[in-house]
Amino acid sequence: MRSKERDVETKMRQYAAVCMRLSEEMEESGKKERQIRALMQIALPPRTRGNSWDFALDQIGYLGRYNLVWQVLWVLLFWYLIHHGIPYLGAGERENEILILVSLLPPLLTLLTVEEVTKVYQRSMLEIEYTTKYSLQSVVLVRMLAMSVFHAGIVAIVIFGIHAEADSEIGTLLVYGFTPMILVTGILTKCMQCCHGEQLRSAGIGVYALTVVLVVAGNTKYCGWYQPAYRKAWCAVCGAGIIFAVWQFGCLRRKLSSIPLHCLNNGEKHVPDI
Amino acid sequence: MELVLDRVTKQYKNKIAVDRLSTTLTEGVYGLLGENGAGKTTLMRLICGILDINSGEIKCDGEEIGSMGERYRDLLGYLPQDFGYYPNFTAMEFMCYIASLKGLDRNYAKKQSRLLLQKVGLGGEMRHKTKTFSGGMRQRLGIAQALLNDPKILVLDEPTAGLDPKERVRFRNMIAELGKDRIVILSTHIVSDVEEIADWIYLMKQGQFIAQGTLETLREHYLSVTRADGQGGLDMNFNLEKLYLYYFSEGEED
Amino acid sequence: MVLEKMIRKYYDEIFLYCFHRVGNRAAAEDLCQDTFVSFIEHYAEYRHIGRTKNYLYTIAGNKCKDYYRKNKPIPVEEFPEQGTGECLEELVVMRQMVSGLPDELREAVILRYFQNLKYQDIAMILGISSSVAKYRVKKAVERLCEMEGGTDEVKRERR
Repeated sequence: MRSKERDVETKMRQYAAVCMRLSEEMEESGKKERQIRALMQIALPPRTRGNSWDFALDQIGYLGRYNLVWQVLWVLLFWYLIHHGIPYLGAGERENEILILVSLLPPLLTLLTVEEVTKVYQRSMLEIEYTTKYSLQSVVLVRMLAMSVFHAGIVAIVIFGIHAEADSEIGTLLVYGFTPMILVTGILTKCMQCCHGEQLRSAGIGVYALTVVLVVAGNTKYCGWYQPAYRKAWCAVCGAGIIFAVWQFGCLRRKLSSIPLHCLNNGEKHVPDI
Repeated sequence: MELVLDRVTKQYKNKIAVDRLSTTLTEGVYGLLGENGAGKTTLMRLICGILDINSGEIKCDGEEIGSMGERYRDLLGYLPQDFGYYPNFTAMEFMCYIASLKGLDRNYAKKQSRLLLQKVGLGGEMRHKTKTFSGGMRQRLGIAQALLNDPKILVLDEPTAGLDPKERVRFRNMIAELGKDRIVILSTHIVSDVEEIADWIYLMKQGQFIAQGTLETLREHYLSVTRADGQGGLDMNFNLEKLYLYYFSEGEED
Repeated sequence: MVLEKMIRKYYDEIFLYCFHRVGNRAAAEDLCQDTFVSFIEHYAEYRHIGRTKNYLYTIAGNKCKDYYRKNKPIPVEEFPEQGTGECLEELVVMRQMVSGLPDELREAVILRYFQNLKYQDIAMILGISSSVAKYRVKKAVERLCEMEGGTDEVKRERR
């Protein structure tokens, strides 16, 4: 009888082993995975809120595509001018010419940033954008930061690219390249707090024209701040410029935290214009 | 959820738009009735945190809304009076953009957008550019975006403007449903909207609440007021319109 | 995710258990899913009950019992295609004999030989003591031997 029992037991175990095939089939057909996923849906309620990164990436995705076109053109312009030069610029000295170009061209990218960012709070302004979790402040901040950082990267890369051609040290080139750009950014961020649209564009052109004048003047015997002796001063100005730009960023952000009165244009017909 | 307004005041250079308003709001539908310039829109903007309060405070569950910042806005859904829009976005793209501003998860946003657009009757226009929309359609889009983040506080400024009667009925049903578990504040000129669905009605004039209550209490108020004025006894055909006209026609009678 | 790991670990086992109890693959899939749904819904409360595995078996067992009440157990129609013809026939016979056992014994035998559980676990799942569990399994095996003896005679008679 013992062997009979063992026989029965063995057969049952064999049967069980054969049946395992069923669960393998379920796995192969994908049904198991689907069932488990359905279970997880019940266990974990679906996410309704994203995180800040998602928001930032989304915003960057909404930046105009044409910006890329302008950025590429800028790089090409930079390359062309460095190699072919501008007549009479730098009083004929190659080195000066390079330094002037390195100072003059980056601020153009800043103008692009300002143009793109002001679109957000200056076109057919949506009141609702002041009431969302990531309000207008955040939108402006993200776009401005993203573009500024990207531009800073481009500038750094092209400067490294032409380093071989220039006699100056890489540090000098970087400081000469970034300082005007940072100063222009700071000044225009201040302007963004006060004006919009056409006015702002004019301000941008005006600031850039001033930059050109200052840079060119720096290469004449009257002003000469492109002389080597002034290198240390440039570093100081660069540092001050960064602080100034960051401060203005903060001011702009604070300004955007409540709706500008000129945008309140409906309903309160008895409220006087302010 | 409780929203407390405590002596809220908003003043422009020489005019007081909202004058020491105090009230408490809990789940339900609140109607704000009043003429243009009464301060309705200003009050709504204050509740949404768009305008800064000159004095007084607004508290949400005991916390001052200014200090809550993002967390408060996460609870809000707002439909402004002149609903602006981005002309070149399609309805769906617009909803997704607003959803991104509201910090919603992308997948959830897509699902909600589709659902809400269908709910307001724009299901067929999802891929059409908003510049092709009629006024009523844009208004419905505005209502849809206000609901994206499933707000606990829904503020609607003249939401039925531009809607035809059928749409208006559909809207009323939607609001009545929503009012069951959230605070809905709706301002309008259209007395019948408020009559049908509001649990509590405020009559606003020159920045103050000149009367408030349920439809019943207002009816009694009206009766007592007209009796006092000697304008006749029991008026069995009270409706809100009469009360409204009573208060807001006063200027004309002078 | 702890919950997901647990589900993945025991899914196959519970599915097979349901299949052995009700004999029908489609029903087994549904019952297995229902078991886990129940498990998730009561996850917060379960912690006191003991090992997850046994808890899952208990839920599954109850679900299967409810299923019988609503449907007459369908004899095994499907059989995984494996092995040679003769072996298969023997196993089918074995399966049918197990179905023929009284409920108490059948439960015990499925848990012991098809699911390979220890007596301790079987006892906890069925809500009986270890010795009762051992007794039932033994009794079941005896019955099966008798039944087999019967079929052997039938076979002999055929020849």
